[in-house]
Amino acid sequence: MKASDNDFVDEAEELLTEAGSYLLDIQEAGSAEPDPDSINSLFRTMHTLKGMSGMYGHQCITDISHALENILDDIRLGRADMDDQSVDFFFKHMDTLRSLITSLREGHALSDEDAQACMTEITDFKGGAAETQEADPLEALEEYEDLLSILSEYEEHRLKSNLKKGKGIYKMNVVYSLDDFDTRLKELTADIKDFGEMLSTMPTSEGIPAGSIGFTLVIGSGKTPQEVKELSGVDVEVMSSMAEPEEEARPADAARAPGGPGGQQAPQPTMAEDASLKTSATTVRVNIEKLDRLLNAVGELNLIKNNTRKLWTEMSEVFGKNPLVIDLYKIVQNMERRLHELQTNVLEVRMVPIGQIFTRLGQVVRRYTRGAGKEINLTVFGEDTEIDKFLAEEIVDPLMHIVRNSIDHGIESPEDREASGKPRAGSLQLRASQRGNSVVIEITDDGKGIDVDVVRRKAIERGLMSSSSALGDMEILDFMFEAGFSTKKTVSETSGRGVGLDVVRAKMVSLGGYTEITTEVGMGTIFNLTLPITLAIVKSLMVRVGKETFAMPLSSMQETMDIIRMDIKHLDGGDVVDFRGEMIPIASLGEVLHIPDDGEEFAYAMLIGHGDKRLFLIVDKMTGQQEIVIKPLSDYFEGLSGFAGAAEVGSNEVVLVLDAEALLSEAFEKKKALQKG
Amino acid sequence: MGSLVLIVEDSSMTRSMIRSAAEEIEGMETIEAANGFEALRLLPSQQFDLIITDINMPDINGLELINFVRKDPRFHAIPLIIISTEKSEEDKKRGLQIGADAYLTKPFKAEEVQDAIKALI
Repeated sequence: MKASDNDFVDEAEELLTEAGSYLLDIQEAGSAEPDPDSINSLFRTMHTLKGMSGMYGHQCITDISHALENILDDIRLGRADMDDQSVDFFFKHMDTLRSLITSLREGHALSDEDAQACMTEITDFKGGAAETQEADPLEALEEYEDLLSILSEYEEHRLKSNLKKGKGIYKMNVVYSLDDFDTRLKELTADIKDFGEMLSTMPTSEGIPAGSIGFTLVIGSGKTPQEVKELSGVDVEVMSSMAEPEEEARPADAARAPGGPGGQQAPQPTMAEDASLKTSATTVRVNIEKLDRLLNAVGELNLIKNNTRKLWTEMSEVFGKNPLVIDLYKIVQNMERRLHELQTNVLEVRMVPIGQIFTRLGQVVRRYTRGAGKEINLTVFGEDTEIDKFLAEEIVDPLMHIVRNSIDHGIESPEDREASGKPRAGSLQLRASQRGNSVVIEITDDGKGIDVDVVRRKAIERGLMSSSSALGDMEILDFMFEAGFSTKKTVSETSGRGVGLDVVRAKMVSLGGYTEITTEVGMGTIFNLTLPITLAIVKSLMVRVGKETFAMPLSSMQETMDIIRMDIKHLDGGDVVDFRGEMIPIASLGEVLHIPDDGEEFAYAMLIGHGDKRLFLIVDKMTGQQEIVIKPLSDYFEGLSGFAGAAEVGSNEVVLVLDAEALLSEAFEKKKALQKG
Repeated sequence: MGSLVLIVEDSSMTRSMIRSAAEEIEGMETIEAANGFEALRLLPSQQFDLIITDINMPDINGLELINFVRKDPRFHAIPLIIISTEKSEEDKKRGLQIGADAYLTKPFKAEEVQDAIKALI
């Protein structure tokens, strides 16, 4: 395979994965009308694939994607219909494309013959019959000709389709700040999707103050203008009124009944006969929720296994070395081994290489380096390190922010670097590695570093610490993760958008991870993100209150300490304890959960929460750490707050897992009530 | 004095092909936007000498972007090239009506892009 083909294959595979997910969305709509956005997006992926393969000279991929694009174009513009047969058809030929790309990856040249057979099939295919054309419904919108002239052919078709269905067509004007207009607009678009369709988004600067941008939105909806205004919070101008109120029941639902004329099983991707096509069918897309259920079932099996082991222990006490007891022992042992294997495999299925994320970050680096006028060499290590798919997706945005931060504030301009004797191009390293049950991601730059003294001054200014407190550099740098904390005087284009480091921290905490900064002025900065490999298995501290044992995930707590109950100060607003010169609220876990503690003077406390919402929770004993699989509580426990779930620990013992966030809220509610009373 | 081109295109591959074609012209610098939103944000930040845009993009499409540029006194004089497919014949017509200066059809050759740029700058 040519080196350049590598890029093509990577991007083509990504496109096909994207196309597959749109197709699944369309299939899920069943006989209801599929989301026009999904069809348009599917069209766009084929369009891009066609363009790309054309440039790389892979004629047969170009031909197939082009032919599919043509059919999709007809469907999206209402000239053909997306019926079940079409969905089937697209699944099949998406597989064809995937297998062609797979053979390209494996170094086989593509012959035209590969594509010839399916090309005939594609060119013969006509989508479902389209609705018949009627008089031009756009006549109703004559006075908006200016606006209509800007619509693309697709938008115009969607507008017509909404008019034909008797939907109301409404115009809205919004003005947002240039800093966050994209997020604001996306939120509004998502809201509108619940009760209508966004038909056009037209940006405008006419009469808009500097630093802001306006948008004229055209939407179609079965709601009244008043309802649309209430649901979206934006004033509405009626371009065309609704014909009649929206019907609640969809007539299409009747056709889905089994045995009915439209009642059929959801179409499945067709298995291809060709050998080269089979290779592409070795991967399966699975919803992560299904894997969660699988993991829960493994947990249940573990409980049954433990009961069986207990039964064996009791039997051996009664019957001694009876051959039947020995048989039972062998079965228990075997079951344990297999179960462990099963659990490992289930967890493994959820894992993806972190390189997937690094690739996306690499694109961002290339794009932003140029915009920021910097020169940067990006190197990546440990891209094969595996992480839970859910976590991988959640971590992208925090990483993106830190990388932009490094480009923007860390690495100096080429001129400044030369002046201080560094190479013109800065170095940015992304490094992932596994440490025990954690994945550590390091973002290292060789830029100008962070001046701890500046951070200290700023923290004192903002009242986050007193000028007399003796905090270490690490602790001082930690203030950079506080909301609204910035030592930067000007806001650049890159960093001026979106999240700050406080959001990075909050996200990491919610994922059970933590963040650290190491820096040296003039040398560079290392951002260190540590997070669990999976949220499915959690390392926890086992604690006791009275006769009860609970598990507290290590990721939810900051510190533990010994405490003598006498040292607790009782103030009007509640109890506090002196912790390194700081007064921190303290509460007894027993009191919060209404269970009696052992009454001993000597106890332990764990620090939970962050920022100004921190709390020490007193427990009687800490009995060690353990890895647990958290399982949801059954309906029986509904309404019981303070618990994240239950976990099986050791033989046949189930403990409740504490939910730090919920306990914090509960304790602070109590404190507030106390202050008011 | 070099010239600065804004490339608005959602496919990263097409984008980099346009970029490398453009940058082969001496003194030509490019900045890329992966969607219309990025373009809207970049426009006021730099003095662009040319905009090259795709039509069919998510969020806001090329026509909406062209309309925005043409109606804003800060940008209305910037020459504008559409690069889109033969599928969007109707859209191209509309694009030229509302103020694009040229259009190229995908797939394109590097020389076509270069000729179009040279003709407008």
